Amino acid sequence: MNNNYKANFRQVWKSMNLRLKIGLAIVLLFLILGFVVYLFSPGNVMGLSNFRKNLKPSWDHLFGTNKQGQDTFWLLISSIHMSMILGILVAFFATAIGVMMGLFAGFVGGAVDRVIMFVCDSIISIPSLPILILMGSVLKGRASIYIIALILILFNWPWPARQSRSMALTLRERDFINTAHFAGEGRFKIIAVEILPHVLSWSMANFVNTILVAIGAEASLAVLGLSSTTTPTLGNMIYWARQYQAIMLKQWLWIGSPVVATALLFIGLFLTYTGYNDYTAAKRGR
Amino acid sequence: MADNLLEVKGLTREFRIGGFLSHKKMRAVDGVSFSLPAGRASILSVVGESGCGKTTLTRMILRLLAPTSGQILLDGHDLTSRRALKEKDFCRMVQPIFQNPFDAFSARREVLNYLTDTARCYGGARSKAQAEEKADAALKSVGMSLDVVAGKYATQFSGGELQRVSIARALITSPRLIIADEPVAMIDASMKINIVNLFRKIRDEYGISFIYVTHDLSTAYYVSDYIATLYRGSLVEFGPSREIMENPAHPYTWLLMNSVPHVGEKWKSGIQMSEAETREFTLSTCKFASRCPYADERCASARPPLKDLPGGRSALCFKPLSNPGKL
Amino acid sequence: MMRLEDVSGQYKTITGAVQAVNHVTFEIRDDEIFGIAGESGCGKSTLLKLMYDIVRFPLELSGGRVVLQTKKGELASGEISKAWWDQISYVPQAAMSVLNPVYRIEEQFFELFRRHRRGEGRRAMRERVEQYLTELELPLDVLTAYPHQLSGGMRQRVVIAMATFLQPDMIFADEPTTALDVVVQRNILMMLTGLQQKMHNTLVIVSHDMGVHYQITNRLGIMYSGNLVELGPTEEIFAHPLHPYTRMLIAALPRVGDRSEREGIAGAPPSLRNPPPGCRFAPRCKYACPGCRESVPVLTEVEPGRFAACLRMDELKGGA
Repeated sequence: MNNNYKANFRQVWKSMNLRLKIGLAIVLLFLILGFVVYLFSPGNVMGLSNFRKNLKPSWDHLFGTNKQGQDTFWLLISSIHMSMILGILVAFFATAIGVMMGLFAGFVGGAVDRVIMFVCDSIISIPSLPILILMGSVLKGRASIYIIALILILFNWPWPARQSRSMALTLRERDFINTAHFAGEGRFKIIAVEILPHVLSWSMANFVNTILVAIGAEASLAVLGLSSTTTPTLGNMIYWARQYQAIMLKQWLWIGSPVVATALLFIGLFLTYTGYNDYTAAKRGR
Repeated sequence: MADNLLEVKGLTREFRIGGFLSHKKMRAVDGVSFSLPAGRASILSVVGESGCGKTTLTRMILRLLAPTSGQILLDGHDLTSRRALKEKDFCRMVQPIFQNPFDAFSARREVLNYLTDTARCYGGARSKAQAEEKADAALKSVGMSLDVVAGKYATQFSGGELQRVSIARALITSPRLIIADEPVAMIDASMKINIVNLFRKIRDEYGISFIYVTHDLSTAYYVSDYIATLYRGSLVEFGPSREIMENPAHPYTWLLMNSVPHVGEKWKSGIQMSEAETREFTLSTCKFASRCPYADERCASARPPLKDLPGGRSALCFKPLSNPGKL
Repeated sequence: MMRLEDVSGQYKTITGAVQAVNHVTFEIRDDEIFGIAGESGCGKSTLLKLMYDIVRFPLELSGGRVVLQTKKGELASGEISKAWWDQISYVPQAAMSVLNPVYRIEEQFFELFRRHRRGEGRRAMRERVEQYLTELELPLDVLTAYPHQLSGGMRQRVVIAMATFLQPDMIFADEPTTALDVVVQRNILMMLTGLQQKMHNTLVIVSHDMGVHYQITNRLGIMYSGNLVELGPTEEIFAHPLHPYTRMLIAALPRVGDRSEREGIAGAPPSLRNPPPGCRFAPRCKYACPGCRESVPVLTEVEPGRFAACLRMDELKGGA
């Protein structure tokens, strides 16, 4: 049994393109940082004056401390942790809701389809960033991170819904759907068992992309100080570093590490997303 | 039980071609009427060239498409009314077999699942074990078995094997009628005859009737009891196949029979081609007139009547043929 | 006209090479219609590509060579592409593989002119093309149409007109009528035979439809799983098939007017990756004997011009 898994894994690894491999490696790195290394973090990284300020990197403080008296390294780790949780949560719900609504609308058609599409199109046509900025400036940085997440989910589910709806529309005409109908499968069973598997690999790719979008959206807000400033996220770390003029103070690690981390995470997710698309295309023989 | 297993009366299906402001109505199926008697099971072949409306006709009989006008009666029940015959009862009586066996099953699901689903829903099975038993029995009657099929996906079978699995699945509900839309079009010649022989066997052993839609006339004439010929949406001839083969009454049937590249006698010449295909669909006069060697002014100016001929036959023609010989 | 000398072809795949054509040797003569028959996976389309020299990755010629002999000289595999359109031409299954969708039909004819003959003035070229189309009984208004405006049958006829326009010595047709209706098919086949009779060139037709071969070919080669298993004059093959596969294939064909029970061939063609030992047809053959699985039967000349590859063909000749 063990041998099978090893052989399977090796075969899959071999058939992956370089882009996907690099992307996955980077994402894996961040997963380790954000969830494994995180386990060792001391609590309350955001606490001000935890330590002496502006210490140089040492074995006690790997990246030193910043002007707020926080340990930069553990702050970074916590930020990665929180950003990733946010990204994954938003991506999961947005993709799940979007795909379900889209498949349902596409398969059932008629009035149901028109209503759902109307809602989707309305949300899509609202530019999300200005709304988020508006809301953020009203709440002035006191919004809970979970409210932000909820709003991001709201703005992000229509995209996968539209896509999966068009997939459902084409799949609906295929003969295996008719076979399923004559085999006694009801509507919901057909959507779940016949149509969904064909949409799954696309959904996975979309999920990865949405993580990127979500983290990016929150970071954009955070950098402007409009996110939940008391929660450590990558964007917030940049915000506070700018507030305290970290560049002027030559606190490179404080401002540099979240910027580099964000960029690297984005690159990793992007490579994974496009690499995965290429991989599935190659598998289908294109 | 009604007199006729299947009765189709004046069945018509129109499609709009063109845009919103200016469009034409095209009749994919135009006033088709025929009936299959109850009592003895029979195989009806619906033949015609591509685009003649045979697939649209089968979709309407399978209730996958609604007719624009006309009626279909299955054992006396009106198919167009959902109240007269509930979908569940309908699926129990009528089952399909599709042209492309690889598309008839999802590539992501084990093929056996479709059989067990059918067994659970329509075959009276109450547990997984019972469902598998029923699937096994059905597979055995087409020359396969549960062991051969279990755990496999559609791509792991050959076209011929997969089509047998489709047939087995259709048998599970003990239907009255199986509708096969070009079931052997994608299968090699050496295997076509096996599948088509299977239809005969099922008709004789289980008393199930078939509607066999095909453009392959050799197998149509080989296996069927009745033949219906469609041309541009109209039914131009209907009757027992042996008699139609010996004495086609409609010039188009005669043309078709002589166009099959058969082994035996060689052709000597080509045949007049039709160019105005879409236009012919919208004609209300005889659609075949422009190519018919026997056409006269009547054919190009009025709608031909459906003439009843002896022996339960009918032909849509002003001057049905008798003893036309070879082309 | 064309000689195949021990030709073998394979496809390179991630998991190794798949042999699609094995050691095929035969000749095609001038002024004949030659048919290549067989079912899916037998290698006939691959053989045609090797003959016409459309050998692109992942297909490669793994052994032997094809030699084309025309009035202008001799060309072997690798150089045959020089003779395309001019001395040999190709009619594919799908007309749209040849027709450019963004040019009108007349432009595509003129292109042929410019490439292979001296381009003349448009009016002169148009006259020649119109004259040719009238000879073939094709309506002249196809010239001003775009390919998508024509029906499938008409497109195929236009492609045949283009393929024969420069009067090549050899024309290859790969399943030319498979995608078309029966009535159109008869017309196109008659058009091809008419052209051959007029031009006295060679026509090679690949088709899985034995009826088509019966109707129009003079000589016929039967392929099974990459091997040529029978070869000879068409009428002879149908009257007295030597190889069990040919025999069973012909027996499986229903004839219009004859409703007697027919038997198909059980099983499926073997996988080309893992062919069975010895004769590849043995697993499905009614007449197989233990010797059949030991060695691959060689194509032997039974009578002048009549070949078959079966160990037991002499014994079977007398019987059923």
